Amino acid sequence: MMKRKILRYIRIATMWLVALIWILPFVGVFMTAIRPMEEILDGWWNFEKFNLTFENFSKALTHPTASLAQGTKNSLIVAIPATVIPLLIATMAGYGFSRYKFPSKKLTFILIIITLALPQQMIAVPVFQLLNAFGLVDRYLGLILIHSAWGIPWITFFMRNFFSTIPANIEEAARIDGASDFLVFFRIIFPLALPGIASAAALQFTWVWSDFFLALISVYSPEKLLATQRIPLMRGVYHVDWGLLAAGAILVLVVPLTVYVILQKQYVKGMVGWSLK
Amino acid sequence: MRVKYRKLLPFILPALLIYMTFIIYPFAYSFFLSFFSWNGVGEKIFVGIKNFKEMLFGNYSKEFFNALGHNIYIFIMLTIFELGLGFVIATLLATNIKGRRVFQTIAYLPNIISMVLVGFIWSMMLNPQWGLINQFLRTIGLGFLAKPWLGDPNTALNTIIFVNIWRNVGFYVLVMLAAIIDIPPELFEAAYMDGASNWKVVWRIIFPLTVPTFQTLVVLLFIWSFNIFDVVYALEGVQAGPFRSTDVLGTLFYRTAFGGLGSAATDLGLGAAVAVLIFMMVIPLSLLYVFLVERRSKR
Repeated sequence: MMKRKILRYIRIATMWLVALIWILPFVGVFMTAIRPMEEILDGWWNFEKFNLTFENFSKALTHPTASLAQGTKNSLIVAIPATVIPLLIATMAGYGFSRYKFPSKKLTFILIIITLALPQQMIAVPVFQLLNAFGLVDRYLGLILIHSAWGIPWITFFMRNFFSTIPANIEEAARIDGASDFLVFFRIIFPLALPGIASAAALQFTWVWSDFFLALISVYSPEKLLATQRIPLMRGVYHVDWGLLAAGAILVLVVPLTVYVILQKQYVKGMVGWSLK
Repeated sequence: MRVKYRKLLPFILPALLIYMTFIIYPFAYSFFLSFFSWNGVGEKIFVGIKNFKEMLFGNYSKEFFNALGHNIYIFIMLTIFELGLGFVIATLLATNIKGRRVFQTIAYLPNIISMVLVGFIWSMMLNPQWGLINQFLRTIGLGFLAKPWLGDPNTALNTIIFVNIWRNVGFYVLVMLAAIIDIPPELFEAAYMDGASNWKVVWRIIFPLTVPTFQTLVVLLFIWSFNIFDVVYALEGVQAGPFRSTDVLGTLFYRTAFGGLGSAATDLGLGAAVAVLIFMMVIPLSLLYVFLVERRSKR
């Protein structure tokens, strides 16, 4: 009994030690952001002097070349449609695949695997040429379409699996009453699928928000740059303002963090479903 | 039953269209490009398999195999540490310890932030002068261990691997935990009733029943390890310094395709050849993944 108790304490101690190591970098960033630079140079864990300042945040928000207020707005302009569009399109596709007999499982899966195995860099050049041909270079629509294309395969597969858990007889009744396929889909299926959609949306949104590479190849006008693209710009050439960078980092990570905290349950379900089913 | 293509098509057409245009076409085009020499603006010159020969046996073979070796090393290290640590933590969490949710959230935090921020956070932590890591070592009297972690060829690659573990272990904990929670509780009750120790329960029940999860995760890790790019890019740049000690196929591709300071070649065809080679190595395992998941869903 005694041994069990000791083991239990060891377990709890290990767990919190890992937690401490994991959270320390975030604490560091936070401290660097809210304290003046000269205090940081002695180490942010040094509390002999402590002056609170929010100057870094206001500087990051109104930065002359890389304003994060603008960046956050731009990122939202991209991330919201880049979540809604693929979700709508892929939910439809997932439904189609699950309801109309089609040897689809293997095929869709192989298509997903191709996207999984495909390095994003590999398609960078042809995608840029495509955008060029469509006149979409440096326009958000182009980036939104690319994000949609990366999201569609896995969301389709995810939703397909979700739909196969919804019994088909719910729709049969409506069908017999003469409702069209699309009517059945939007009136009956879509509302039932909302939990699955919430999971997929949480994941897709955070991925789009955190993306750097796809934005890099498709958006480059200074005023159009997204939040993640602005962080490297804040790094001066000769002098690195760590406080400013830290404040910027916090402003950028606060959005996906909020999504995660609010939709944690859906998020976790999505992640597990995404990787294993 | 007959396949109802007529009814299916309107549902899948938009998805198919976007997917074909922005994924499949660029993908096929890369294959095509790998047989040409092209600097991006001039004319494409057909060179046959010269790009592949250059990479595997010619001028670039040293860089190619150096990078490939690092990819393999990264895969092995990540398998041991991310999967291993993921399993251990998930097992600890499975026993309803107080604060489990808080812990899980903390461990998962690095996974939801952008790689750009991961790069910034760790370049701050690892700053040779005032970064926490070196300061800490000096404080506890291990100052001789303090070093420019990312600037020393002996430690740079392992440092990158550590940052990767920090970023991803939460994901493995989450998936493993889900697999453990799926195990019917009666099995544990029966085992404890028979007087089994915790240790035995872990090795005789939890481990064997999570093997399928391990299998799929290893394959995913393999795919990710061969496609790894952004963590190296964020911490060391495309030059994968110091002295290419952190070079991986992803950064090699970037340098050959788009050039970069100090890199002579900017040949999109050559870059495409690297990408095709990466893809060729990854695809057999990816198909295995299909097979594994397929088998799992049948049960």
